[in-house]
Amino acid sequence: MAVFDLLVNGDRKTVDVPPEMPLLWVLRDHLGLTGTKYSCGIAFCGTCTVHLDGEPIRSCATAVQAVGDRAITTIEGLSPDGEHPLQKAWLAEQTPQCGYCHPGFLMQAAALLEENPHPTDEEMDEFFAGNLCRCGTYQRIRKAIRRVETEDDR
Amino acid sequence: MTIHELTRRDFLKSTGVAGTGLVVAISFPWVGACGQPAVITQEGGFKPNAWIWIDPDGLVHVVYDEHEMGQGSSTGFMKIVCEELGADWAKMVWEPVPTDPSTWERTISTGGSTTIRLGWDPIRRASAQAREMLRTAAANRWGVGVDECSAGDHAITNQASGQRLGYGELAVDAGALPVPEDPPLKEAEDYTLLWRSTDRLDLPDKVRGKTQFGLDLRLPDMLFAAVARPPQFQGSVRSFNDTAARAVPGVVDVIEVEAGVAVYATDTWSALQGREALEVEFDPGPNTWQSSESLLARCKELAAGPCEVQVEEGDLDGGFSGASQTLEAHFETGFLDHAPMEPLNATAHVRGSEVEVWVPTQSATSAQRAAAQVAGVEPSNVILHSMLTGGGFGRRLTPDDAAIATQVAKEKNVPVQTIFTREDGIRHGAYRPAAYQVLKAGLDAEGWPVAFHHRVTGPSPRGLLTGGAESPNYSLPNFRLDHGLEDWGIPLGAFRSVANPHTCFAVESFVDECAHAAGKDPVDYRRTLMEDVNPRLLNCLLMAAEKAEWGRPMGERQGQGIASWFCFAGYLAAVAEVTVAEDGTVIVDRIVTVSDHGIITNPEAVRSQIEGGTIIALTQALKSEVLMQDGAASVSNFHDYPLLTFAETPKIEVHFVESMERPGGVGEPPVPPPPPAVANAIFAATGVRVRKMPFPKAELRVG
Repeated sequence: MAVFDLLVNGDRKTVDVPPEMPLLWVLRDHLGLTGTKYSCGIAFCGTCTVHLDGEPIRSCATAVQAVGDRAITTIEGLSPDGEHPLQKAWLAEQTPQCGYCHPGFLMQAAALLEENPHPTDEEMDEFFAGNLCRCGTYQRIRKAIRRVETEDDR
Repeated sequence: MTIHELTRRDFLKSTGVAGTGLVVAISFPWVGACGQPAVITQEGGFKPNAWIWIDPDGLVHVVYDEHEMGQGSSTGFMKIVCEELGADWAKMVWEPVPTDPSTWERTISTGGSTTIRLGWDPIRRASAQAREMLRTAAANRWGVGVDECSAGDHAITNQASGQRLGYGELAVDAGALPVPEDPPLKEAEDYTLLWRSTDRLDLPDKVRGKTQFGLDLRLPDMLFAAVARPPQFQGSVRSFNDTAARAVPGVVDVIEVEAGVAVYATDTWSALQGREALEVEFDPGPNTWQSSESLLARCKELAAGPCEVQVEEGDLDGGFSGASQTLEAHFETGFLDHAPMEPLNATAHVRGSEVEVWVPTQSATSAQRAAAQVAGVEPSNVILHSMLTGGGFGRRLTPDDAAIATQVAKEKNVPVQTIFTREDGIRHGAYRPAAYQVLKAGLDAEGWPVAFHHRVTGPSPRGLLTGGAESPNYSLPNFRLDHGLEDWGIPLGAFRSVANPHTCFAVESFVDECAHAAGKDPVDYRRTLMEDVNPRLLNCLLMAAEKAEWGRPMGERQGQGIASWFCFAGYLAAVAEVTVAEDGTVIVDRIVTVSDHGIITNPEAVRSQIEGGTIIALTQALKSEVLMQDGAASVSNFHDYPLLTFAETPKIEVHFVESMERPGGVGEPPVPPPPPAVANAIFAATGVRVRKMPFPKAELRVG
């Protein structure tokens, strides 16, 4: 066990856990932040995506000891009021079905637009290569991201 | 529209199970889904039936006794009530699934695309009862005839005087009146909500990470558990050594239960690490002979042997003897796991004769019974919390999650959350069965079928294997459906659209083969065979051909294909456009669907279902299969059981027939047609018939 001082959604949090415990389980079981989801546990589906200093990472395959002093952002911290342009666009397109993979998709999408505000379809394909949705909402996700872009241009 | 927030205490009170001494405050999964403040409910008002309660403030509380797993039918259900009642959408309150299914009005189970189509009559009736009582209460207040009182905008209006009384103002009076048995129903031409899109109630929380799925439940003092289970379906635990497992930090206990060896810990990761460290020796059981290859070989033996006739029409042998040409084709489809993104899980707390279970289930009734059986109590002693579900697709109709979680929790006096990892889920599914089908047709000199024989082989039961093949959508004189089935001891269940995806794949591919053998266009051929049998499906087929510009010129190694199917009271036709790469990779460029679901309660949500049904269908056609080896599943996670990806998603264009027929099914009808439409498009592109799912890439390679 070891003590880690983490910066999560702007708040300092201290946890005492095994150093190799994936960040996913630290968030879910020790910090009560269950918005970040478990689905495959092998970094193959993107459902557990969070940001470390703005970079999207798979929290199921990132040991808490590897986080260091990087700022962790989860779906709960994507925007203070749940009104991030992507969240609004997601609703406007009625995007989720079961919604379980969407925290991961939203975090991945937020990182994409931060890095590349006008991605081509091929760039989107590549950026979402590691995010899976069993309900099949991919087409709406693409439309929702395009909606944010269009609104930005207004 | 509001989603009701209740404390545990309120909830117990309102569901009549107070006095259990429980005061654990839990939040319901849909709390605040619309960003609305919690509802403060006044006591009183009236409750004409189990589903509806109108309180003195005029809030309409509706018990949604079905499961929201992403299909959106919760919103559709609420809209039916709102429409029939003439209520204000902002004053509707979504109440949770009842926690005692054993005493509820009807079985609480969501499958078979039934929520709207089978709710249509009882829910409209329940709503109309409330409306008629409100009208009578107003008429009595004003001393006028009921006919002079109209309902709408959450009020009753005196048509002569223009006076209005709100539903809240009438609630107490209405409660004193008899409940009408057979209230009149609103005419379809007066609908203002149905056939119009309404934002789904479950989505705002979902985009904010606030939705509480089953796996997100956290209770005081709870433990987390993972169960080491034998890989073989018929296997068992021979012995185990838990020394290393108990040494894992966080692990608090290791106990053998019926399903396997349970490792208990203070968090999920420690439970999983403990299970990893556990040494278990399993007895593989009797079925180690089973592999995908040996089971296919067994199917072929069954197909060669005598089969049981399920449907026989006309004279099959006579039809074949008079045929000008005979076609035969064999279709292979594998086992499938539903793999919902939220892995299976359930939390249980066993307190002697009282059991409490929290499970994201499609069938609260089955889950309650399963937990009761394990705990040795009556179902009514199990408080069953039906959690919001991160995908179901039929997997959560089988209550193995609730049963095993109860086995695990029975050993402890605190709540225990049992997690089934992705690997656990794929290796211990309730699989869509593998099937091997032989189709044989005799065609006359003009190419029309004069004999049609459909044989299905695979594991029993029949309903999971031959469904959809019993009543062809074509005029097929001299028809026989027969089957060769046997029990393999492999756990099976209903996967979205059940048997239809494989029976449709075979029939719709084979009818295409017949059309080509007859030298006829596949749409024209189908039209002639379908017009007397299924005009609604034919309408979809012809509209799909038109919307997709059937017959438009395509490039090299590109093609169009079409297929249509009727199931679960829904009609759907799909046109696929594909490009087949030189290495055999199939790229689906476009899918156009036209479907007829009768009255659609929420078109945008239904559109979403059709898109998603298409994706899950393409995953079956192009990506995944649960392979078997040594009597166990030999795939385990998304690396070897891949799903269709973002990049592989075609352009999906969804069109509806504007129908005022009673509502049909939505969730399942979009799944069967896309695979054969793609297979037929592959034939158009390459001249090669693919008769196995997932499609064998090697057969499509150039050179």
